[in-house]
Amino acid sequence: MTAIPVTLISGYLGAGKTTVVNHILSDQHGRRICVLVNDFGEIALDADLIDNRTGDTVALSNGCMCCTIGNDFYSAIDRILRMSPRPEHLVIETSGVADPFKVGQIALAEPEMDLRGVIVVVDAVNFANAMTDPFLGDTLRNQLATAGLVLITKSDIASPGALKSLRVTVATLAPEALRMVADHGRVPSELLLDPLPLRLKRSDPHAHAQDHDHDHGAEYRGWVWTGSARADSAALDRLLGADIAGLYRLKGLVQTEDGGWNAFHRAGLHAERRAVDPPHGQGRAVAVGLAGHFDPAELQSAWDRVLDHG
Amino acid sequence: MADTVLYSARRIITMEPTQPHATHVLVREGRILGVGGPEIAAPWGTVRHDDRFRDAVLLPGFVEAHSHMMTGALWEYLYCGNVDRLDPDGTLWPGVTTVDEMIGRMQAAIARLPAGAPLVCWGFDPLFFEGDRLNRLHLDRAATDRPVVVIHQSFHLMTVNSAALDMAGYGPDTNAEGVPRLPDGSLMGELQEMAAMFPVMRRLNLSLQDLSRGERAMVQFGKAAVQTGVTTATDLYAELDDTELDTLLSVTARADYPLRIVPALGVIGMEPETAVARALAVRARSTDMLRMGICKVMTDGSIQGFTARMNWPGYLGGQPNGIWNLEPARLKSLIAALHGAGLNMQLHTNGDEASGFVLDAIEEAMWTHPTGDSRHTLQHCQMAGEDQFHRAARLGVCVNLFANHLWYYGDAHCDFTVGPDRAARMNACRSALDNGVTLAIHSDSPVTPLGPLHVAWCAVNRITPKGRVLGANQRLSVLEALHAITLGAARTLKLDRDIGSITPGKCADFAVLGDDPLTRAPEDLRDIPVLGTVQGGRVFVK
Ligand SMILES: [Zn+2]
Repeated sequence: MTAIPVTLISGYLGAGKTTVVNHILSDQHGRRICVLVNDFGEIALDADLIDNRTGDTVALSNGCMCCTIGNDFYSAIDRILRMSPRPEHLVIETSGVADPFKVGQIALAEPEMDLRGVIVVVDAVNFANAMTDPFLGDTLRNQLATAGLVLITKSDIASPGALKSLRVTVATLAPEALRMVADHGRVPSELLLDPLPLRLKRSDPHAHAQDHDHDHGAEYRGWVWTGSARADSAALDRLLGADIAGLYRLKGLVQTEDGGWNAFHRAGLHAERRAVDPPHGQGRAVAVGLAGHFDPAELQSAWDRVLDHG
Repeated sequence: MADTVLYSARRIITMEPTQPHATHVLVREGRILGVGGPEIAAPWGTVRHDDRFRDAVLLPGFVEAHSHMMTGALWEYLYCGNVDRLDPDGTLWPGVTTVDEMIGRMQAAIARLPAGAPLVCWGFDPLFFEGDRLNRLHLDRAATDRPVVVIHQSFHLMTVNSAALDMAGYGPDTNAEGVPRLPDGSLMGELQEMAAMFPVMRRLNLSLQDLSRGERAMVQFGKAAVQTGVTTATDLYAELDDTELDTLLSVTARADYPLRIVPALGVIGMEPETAVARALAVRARSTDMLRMGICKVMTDGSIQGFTARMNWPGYLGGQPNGIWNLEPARLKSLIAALHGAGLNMQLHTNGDEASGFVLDAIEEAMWTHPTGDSRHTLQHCQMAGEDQFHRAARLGVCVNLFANHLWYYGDAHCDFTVGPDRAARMNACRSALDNGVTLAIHSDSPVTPLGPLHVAWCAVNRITPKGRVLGANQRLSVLEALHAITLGAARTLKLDRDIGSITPGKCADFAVLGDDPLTRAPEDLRDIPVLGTVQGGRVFVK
């Protein structure tokens, strides 16, 4: 049996993990994702998205499901591994005080699990304060040290000073992690679930000179579109070759003017488009680009011009 | 007219200041009618004389205020510990101290198993075992055609044979913490902590939680209690779902069931309102033999696992501070809600940062809901210093200290976890009493073996297997230690109205001992034979 890919989502209470989880569950990514959460209470799922609900599991109409940990984390994992059919991806939302290093060990030890990444959510408004909490500061430091991707939430309402100092803290504590701004948790799920650099090591404190300009881990911004509109294939090809500031990756699946489906992918200078079988759901496109350079709004208007609105 | 029985004994140690010692106790309807000399029967009409305890010493039935239901059920597995122990059915299992002895015992057990069936063993403690550290090659001598699993006494580790590693899919590519290797690079077979043990356990359907459920676990728990003089015991983290609750009610109501059970509802993972509602609902179904309503709150991990939350200077080897079980903010609201609803909490706190935090949270809750007698109890509370005991006393908070740790982990605490100076004040029983804190001491069975006399022995002697005395000034007198396993423990559970001492009106619960702990040398306390118990006036002595 092939191993189920596993992604951990960590972060302290109030950082915005739940928003991210909600987004993964309701996003039209076409994957059957199972999210394991501490408590349904906070997962405010859209009622018309819910297919059915039994004790510890909520099944969604898009094929995803949400399970609670209940009394025992390990029996919850066992329950999920015994599911038939097995979910395509398992996302584990850890508690706000969990050490992802420890939680991640289960996915490293169990041959039927394949750890793909650790995401740590921090919010730009409260993080500095949380770090000074004597009972919590070391826990947050440990969480960040294991991050492959740091998701920054609430940057839209944070003061520029808070955002700047957050970036310095994250760059110091998680120098090799990717960073992504995810206001309202809206990050293309693909980017969260793709393999991330694994940072489950504690033994390599990253020594840094004070004056060293700190930016190993680049910061990204995401963009996502879901819909049923058709694309003009010539315009799509032009977009795949266009100069888009800061774009790192663009990929998607869309129906073209002749009714056929096309998958497209662009990474750096390399781009391709090919015909594929129709998917189950709607068309979808996601992109990620360097924060400060890449402007999702600009890509959105370029994308609007690709769509055939006739 | 109810039967009235006058028991005579060599000595009765009552734990009551009015009459600390007696020779006779009068019992009617399961309760104590009188205590004193032979003359006490006179005012009560016809009595039956029973002299079977003539040569025995009676104490209040022992109260184990921190134990778990799994205690008796573990004997479903093969015992491989180093000390001689009786199983709940009275069979003596001599300790094994060499690999050869252990393999011999395993082979004998395998001969009785169906082909291919796994062998699961427990009780093994590498600290007390001679020779090389146990590894898969040793266990392959017991069997190569089936999984062999040895659960360590700590329950945090196991050692398995090669067949079990293969079954779990462990191999050269395994790259997880807690899966150590032999010098030749192959896997050692030791699996450390739950994440590493999980692949083996799930494939064998080995669930220690499930082991604690059901009638058989309850019956075996009762038998283990009788052997150790225990008449009331907690199951200090119970789920108490409807099925389990119905079974508990029916088993404890049996005329021959010898143990009053005090399950503590485990509330971690519940929202505060849910926890309160559930605790109140189960409390309403309590009977004399099944006392419910107390709640178990977890805060940190363990000291030997380096997961307890410690104050500066933390762990000896510079290990990072431990792990909270729940966000501190959530813990506070859980504690506030349970306290506000008038529920008693038993709070697991191993490290001193955790115990300090819980005292903060309780004090805050008390500003909102003032109370004179909530008796919340810090469980383990192993690192608390004078400041915290003083504060606990002011707040009316009790402590239940893990005295058995001094023996089972004392040397490890000196050498590896906290160092000799802080190890000397671990489980500081003297400080607790001198500060006026209500004190219980416990085994956390099955983490260490059930046996209140052993726990008391630890608190009295504070000795380690290497012969160290950890904090001689923290030692208790024998009488103080006996108090902590009877009346002190009853008080922490708020059950001292009914149990904990031998005085008119209380339940006729006695521990029946073969010798007198107050005349034997303090270092012999753990060797005093336990002959059985009297529980609610019913005699459970062979
Ligand atoms: Zn316990």
